[in-house]
Amino acid sequence: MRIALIQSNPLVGDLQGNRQRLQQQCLQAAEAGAELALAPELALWGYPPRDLLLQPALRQQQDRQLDQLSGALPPGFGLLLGVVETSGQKLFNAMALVERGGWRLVARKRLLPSYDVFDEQRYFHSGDQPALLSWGGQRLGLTLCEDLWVEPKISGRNAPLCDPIAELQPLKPDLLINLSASPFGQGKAERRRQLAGAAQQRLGCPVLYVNQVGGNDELIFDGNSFVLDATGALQQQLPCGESALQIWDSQSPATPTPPEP
Amino acid sequence: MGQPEPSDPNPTRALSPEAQLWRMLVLGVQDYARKCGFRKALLGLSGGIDSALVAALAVAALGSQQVRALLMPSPYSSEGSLQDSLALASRLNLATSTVPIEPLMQQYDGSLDPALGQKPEGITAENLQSRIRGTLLMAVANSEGQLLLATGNKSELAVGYCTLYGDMNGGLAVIGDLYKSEVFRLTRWLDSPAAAGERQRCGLPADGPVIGDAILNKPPSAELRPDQKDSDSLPDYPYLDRLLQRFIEEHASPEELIASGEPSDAVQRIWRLLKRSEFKRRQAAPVLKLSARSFGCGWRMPIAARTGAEG
Repeated sequence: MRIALIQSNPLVGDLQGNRQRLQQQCLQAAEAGAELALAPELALWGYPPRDLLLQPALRQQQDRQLDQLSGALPPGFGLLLGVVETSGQKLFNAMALVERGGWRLVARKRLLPSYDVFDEQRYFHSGDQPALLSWGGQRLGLTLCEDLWVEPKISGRNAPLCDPIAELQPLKPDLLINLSASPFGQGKAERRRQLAGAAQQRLGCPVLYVNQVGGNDELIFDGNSFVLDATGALQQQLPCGESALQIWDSQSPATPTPPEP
Repeated sequence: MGQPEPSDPNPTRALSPEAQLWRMLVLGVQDYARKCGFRKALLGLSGGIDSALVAALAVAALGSQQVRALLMPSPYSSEGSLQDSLALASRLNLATSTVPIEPLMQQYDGSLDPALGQKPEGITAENLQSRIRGTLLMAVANSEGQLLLATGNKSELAVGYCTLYGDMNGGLAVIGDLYKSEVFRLTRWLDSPAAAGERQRCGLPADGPVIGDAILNKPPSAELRPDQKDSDSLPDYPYLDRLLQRFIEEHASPEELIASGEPSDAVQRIWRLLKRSEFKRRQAAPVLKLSARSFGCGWRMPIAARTGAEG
């Protein structure tokens, strides 16, 4: 499967502008032969949207933008991106699959960071199950940002409330996808790769990590998206501090080549 | 953004820590200005290393034609201040205006004399100079539609070595998450051959110094009274920054620092300064975050508070 990694620099709250830019990038990716594109966490909003999330009108506008996006994508092309899910009074930091003619919610973020500059428990409820999406003949394990930060030895944080990577193990994903909005920190790019490496070892599959890039108020997102292959080697590295669109080809089917007879 | 690119043939090519910091700061200034609708920026150039670094960052982020600097010497400014600032501006191809503040200082002295029963003195007089400069900067920024960049560093913000409604004026505190020692490190890197690639990437002159030895090597001074040096009122920066880092990033208490062998006087004093300047930080411009704990939404300290270590 040919997959596009979209490392985008959104303007917070500009749902329409961010949708238009993302739409263009999807068309560009499709032209390059990609079947699936990945965009960061809360890609239409820009991270962090803070209390803008509390406005029902903006959340409705998000859904209309997703409708528009689905009308503009070519047939057979899918986009996975971070969205806000409104469910009654509850909000979830979620992931949607957008295809021509419609979009649907496919994952909810499990681990909500609420330390340092993060405030996700102010807005969101946690998802309570692992997310696996069968698409294009592949089993895609879906995670959002913090869901990957489950190794206290690497993250330097407390043990998480649950382990979304462990819960994906019995579901045997062919690829692990993580959509992030992870701000710069010294040594953090390396730490993210180590966390992805730990997930790769547990799941035995490639890891695609797509991060937001750009400055939003005091936070600066470095991008540095990457792909680890099924052996854990760094196969693709997107730039530090720049918007980028890169294409990655998975071996299909995603099984190791059988040994020579 | 260009056409989709194939995989980077050398994916593990890593940027040095300084190059990463530099690139993040440039991006932070660029996006804050662009996303807030500013094309132009303004800053005050003092001849010191902090404003020199911010000037270089502003030019890298927005282009030299979009950045303007104000030089506001007082009778306490050293001769080097003005010359070094002008030389820096010329290396950065930066437009400057010079507005001496002595006439305004005299005007304030005369106007305040009846109310105070004397001319302003001490801290009051020092802060007045900073506030005169802050007012001039805001007037120019208002008139020309520029984003005013504050140039204070993390060490100063931590101990309150900064003036509200003076040098703290501005829409963005560009290097407010760099300790003074880190400012020295980053500026030395910027003037070294190691920075050539990043300089070229953002349109700074590829050859020769940007900051220059005159600015890199001078002892830090606020120049708010005759022959003043930061070291008159603060411990040396490498030591100060080490203690601050223990307090801020590592959540240490004064007792823990003293128990680990640090001198009680210095520890208590810095702790007191850190806590007493909370009201200033709450009113500071947003600080571009680079460290594990920067002043801003990742630092939520009370202002009206007392803890056991109150001196």
